[in-house]
Amino acid sequence: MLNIDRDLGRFRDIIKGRVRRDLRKYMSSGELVGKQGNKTVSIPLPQIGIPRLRYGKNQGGVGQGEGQGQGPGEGQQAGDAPGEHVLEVELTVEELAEILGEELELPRIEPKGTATTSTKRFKYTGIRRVGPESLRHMKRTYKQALRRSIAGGTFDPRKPVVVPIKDDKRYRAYNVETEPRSAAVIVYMMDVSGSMGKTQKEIVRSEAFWIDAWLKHNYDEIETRFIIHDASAREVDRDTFFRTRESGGTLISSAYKLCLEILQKDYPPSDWNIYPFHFSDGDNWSQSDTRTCMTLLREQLVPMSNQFSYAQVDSQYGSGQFIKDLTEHFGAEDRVVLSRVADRDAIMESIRELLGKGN
Amino acid sequence: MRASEALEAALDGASGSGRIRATGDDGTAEIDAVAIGPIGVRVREVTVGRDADIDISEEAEALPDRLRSLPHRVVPIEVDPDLGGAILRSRPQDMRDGEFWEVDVRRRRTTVRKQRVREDGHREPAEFALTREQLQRLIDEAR
Amino acid sequence: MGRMTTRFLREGRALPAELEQARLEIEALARSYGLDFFDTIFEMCTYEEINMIAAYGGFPTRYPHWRFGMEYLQMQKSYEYGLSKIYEMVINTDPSYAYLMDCNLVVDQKLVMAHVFGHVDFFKNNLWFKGTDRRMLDTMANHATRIRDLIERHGASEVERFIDQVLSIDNLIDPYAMHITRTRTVTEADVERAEADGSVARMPAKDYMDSYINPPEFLEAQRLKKEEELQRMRSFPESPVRDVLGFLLDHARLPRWKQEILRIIRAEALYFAPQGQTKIMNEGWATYWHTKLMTQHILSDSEVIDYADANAGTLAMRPGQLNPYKLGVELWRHIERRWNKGRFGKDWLDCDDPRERAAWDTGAGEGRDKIFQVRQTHNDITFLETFLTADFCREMGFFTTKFDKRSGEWVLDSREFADVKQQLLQMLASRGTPRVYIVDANHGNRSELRLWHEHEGLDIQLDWATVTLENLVAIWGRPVHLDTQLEGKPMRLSHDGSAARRAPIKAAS
Repeated sequence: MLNIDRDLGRFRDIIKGRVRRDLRKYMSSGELVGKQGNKTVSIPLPQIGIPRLRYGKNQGGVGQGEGQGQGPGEGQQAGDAPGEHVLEVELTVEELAEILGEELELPRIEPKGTATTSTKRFKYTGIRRVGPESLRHMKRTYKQALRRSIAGGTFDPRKPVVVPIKDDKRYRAYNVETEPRSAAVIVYMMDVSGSMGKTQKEIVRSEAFWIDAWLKHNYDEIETRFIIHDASAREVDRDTFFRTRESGGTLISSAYKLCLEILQKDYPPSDWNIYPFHFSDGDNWSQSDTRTCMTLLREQLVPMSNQFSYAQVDSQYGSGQFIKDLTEHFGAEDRVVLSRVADRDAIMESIRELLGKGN
Repeated sequence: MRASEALEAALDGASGSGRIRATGDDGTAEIDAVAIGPIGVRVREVTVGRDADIDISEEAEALPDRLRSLPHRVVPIEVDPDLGGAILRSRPQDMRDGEFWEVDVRRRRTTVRKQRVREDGHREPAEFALTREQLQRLIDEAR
Repeated sequence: MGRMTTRFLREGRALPAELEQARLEIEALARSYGLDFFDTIFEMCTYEEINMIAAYGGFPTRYPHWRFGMEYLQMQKSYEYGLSKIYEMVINTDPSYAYLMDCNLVVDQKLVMAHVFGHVDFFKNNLWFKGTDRRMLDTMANHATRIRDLIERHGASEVERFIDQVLSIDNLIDPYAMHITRTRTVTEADVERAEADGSVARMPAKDYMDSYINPPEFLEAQRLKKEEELQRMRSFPESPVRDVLGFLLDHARLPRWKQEILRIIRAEALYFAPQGQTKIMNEGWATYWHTKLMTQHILSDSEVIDYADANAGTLAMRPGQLNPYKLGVELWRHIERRWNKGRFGKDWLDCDDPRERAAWDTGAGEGRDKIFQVRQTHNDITFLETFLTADFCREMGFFTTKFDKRSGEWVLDSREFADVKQQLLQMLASRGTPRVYIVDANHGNRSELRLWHEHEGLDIQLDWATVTLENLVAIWGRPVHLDTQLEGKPMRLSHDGSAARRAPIKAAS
């Protein structure tokens, strides 16, 4: 009937093009990250209207009544001046991931062979004469009762009351179907030692946002867990993850150990695609702890993961030693991906490095 | 004799480069020297050692005020009594050409070194020069 | 009230019996008051439908374009946020179509109908709507078909790009163009003939009388006059052209399909233009009538409370802020009162005794006639210019505001009538389009287009102007200049398609 869907679709394409064009900007500013809803992201788009010759800002206004301070104009004239208001457009995380994938030319991820969970779904398949009361189909039951009372001549149109008897009762029938779903778990680990400052955390936040979006795009089901660590590690919620700053020293192995514990407890590798991500400035406390880390990685964490990702975020004191140690030990390992993030502008490239392998 | 004086004495007979260590009444002093001259030394790091444990938290708090012979203050970055150590560094606003001082405090030793952030963001040790007098003072302050 | 917009009749949209009955009553009542409207067909719509139609400017079919999608999205948003509730839409066609939202209360629907009859009366009788295409429903549908055709043949992105460029100048039309015929008075042939005819006019005279009757000075003056005329004829256009779209349609070197798009967009822009010029009057008029019809006749007792609520929503103002619709209806009532009491003419104007003025009532009773007259001939600007009086401003408590830089707030500036009126008119003007004329289509003898902005106190917005000029270059095919003023200095903005320039205009040029 109306063609608005087509126009709407075209407009959304334009928006997506705009977001793609400005992707780098969005990635480094963290603008989108703060606009994240449950399933959608709100994107502010200034000046997407049609440019026309028009007057600039008005110098004064007219008010009425007592005369408190008021802006110019009539207030309710939104739409008269495109470009002055910012249009917020909702994109789904899915759409955003598509844009990301296209722009960074990310390969799609092939879920690991057997790693799928199965979910049970109730599917209503019909109507039965027996069943639990909770599944009683009221309408059908009364219909049946009505039919019976009319057929039996007990129905009185002036007093149209029908009382269902046991035979009238109808129940919904269902089957339980098992469907395979590809599921993934992301474990974010972050070094919150004193040297990881505000900027460093914002970078991690941006990266985590895009990683979430992309993996969600590739899997039916995603779970995320968060670990912060200095010399000891603990599991926290997303909010705490990005807020916490500690002053202690750094023992990276503490995070890897906790990560292993969580995975072993809740995410058997046969059912889950596993993605640990670790963010740090790379200043581990001691070489002996680094050796412990390498052992944990080699013997346990890497073998059970689709990909183990390490991103080293530079601080004002430069980049630490840990990434060099990892390169030395895992430089040839396809499932270990390393990335160094010098500053905000490097986020996009880092995302490309982390997600570009299609593991 | 203090360790700083013992090291000064040891330097008198030394030349070239390498680690030089001396022991005094108050503990040990050690430098990783790149060059030793009659007036000054060029080093990678300076370490003082002691016989008894110190309280890491207290030391991390007190050290910034004591280390006066460095060109600017260092501040605690990480302090971890459980791990038995603390890291102090120059504040970013005091850094020039990516160079910063780093003081690595452990229960039985304190090391002063200088680091440089290269153009590519990687970090490397930087040498620094001290007069013999400055060196002596630094060792006493770091004690 | 909502925006004026429209749409078409579909099966199963007829009013339920109760509303049909109400419609008949309201219509009869409206006619009894002298409202004179086209047949008006009401249709019931869901909220979604009404949103779509509103995004299409009230029509069921428009040519494909992304901005309709954008408007739809915005409308949905603002509805979700509770910012705006479209009560009604009505389009200026004959017959006229109006849409009722199916979830509204019956009392709301009655109010909307009364309101709608006011609008349709206005459409039918106001001078500025005289030239509008009353068959726009069909026309819009044809436009849609044509543009879909063009998309088919020239590709969606090509067509879209050109539409975007033309939309960027679709406000550069002559709102009066419907009332005058646009013709070139001097044809190419005229110019050629004049050039070929090198001789100057002489009084017919016998040879021997010639030097007496046609003295050399006379001949010289004649020759100069001729030259000037020729210059004027050669310059192109002969006089400044406000209808930029129309000029481009005639003179830009465009392939036929682009001309077609230009023609379509110009026709639609001309159709919508009067609505922008009469917003205050038209909304005020419709509100005046729905209030009159509703409170005096139509409401049943139980509906009065609902009505009060709905009406409060329509006219509610945030404190201190001016609502143009409220201004409109109050001004209509003010005019009616004045002419009822004979508060016009020389005696009234000459009287400055406040007590005498307050009690002034000649029993003239001409109010109703007067407002019907006014709705016929005025637009918003002349409406305010003519009828905004000092008394009215005082009654309404109007004041001007200005931005106080120190406090960072808008503060009361003046309650002086002259200031308020001036500010109101300026606000009205600034919501409109800057007056821009084509003054030279052969600028620098290089076929460059030069436009002139008739500066009326407000500067144009520079960043948008730059993009607009770039779009003009794309249509005209040669560099484009716009002479305007920026911060008090004459300035020429230029664009050659790749770069924008800005240069002060020297007095001589």
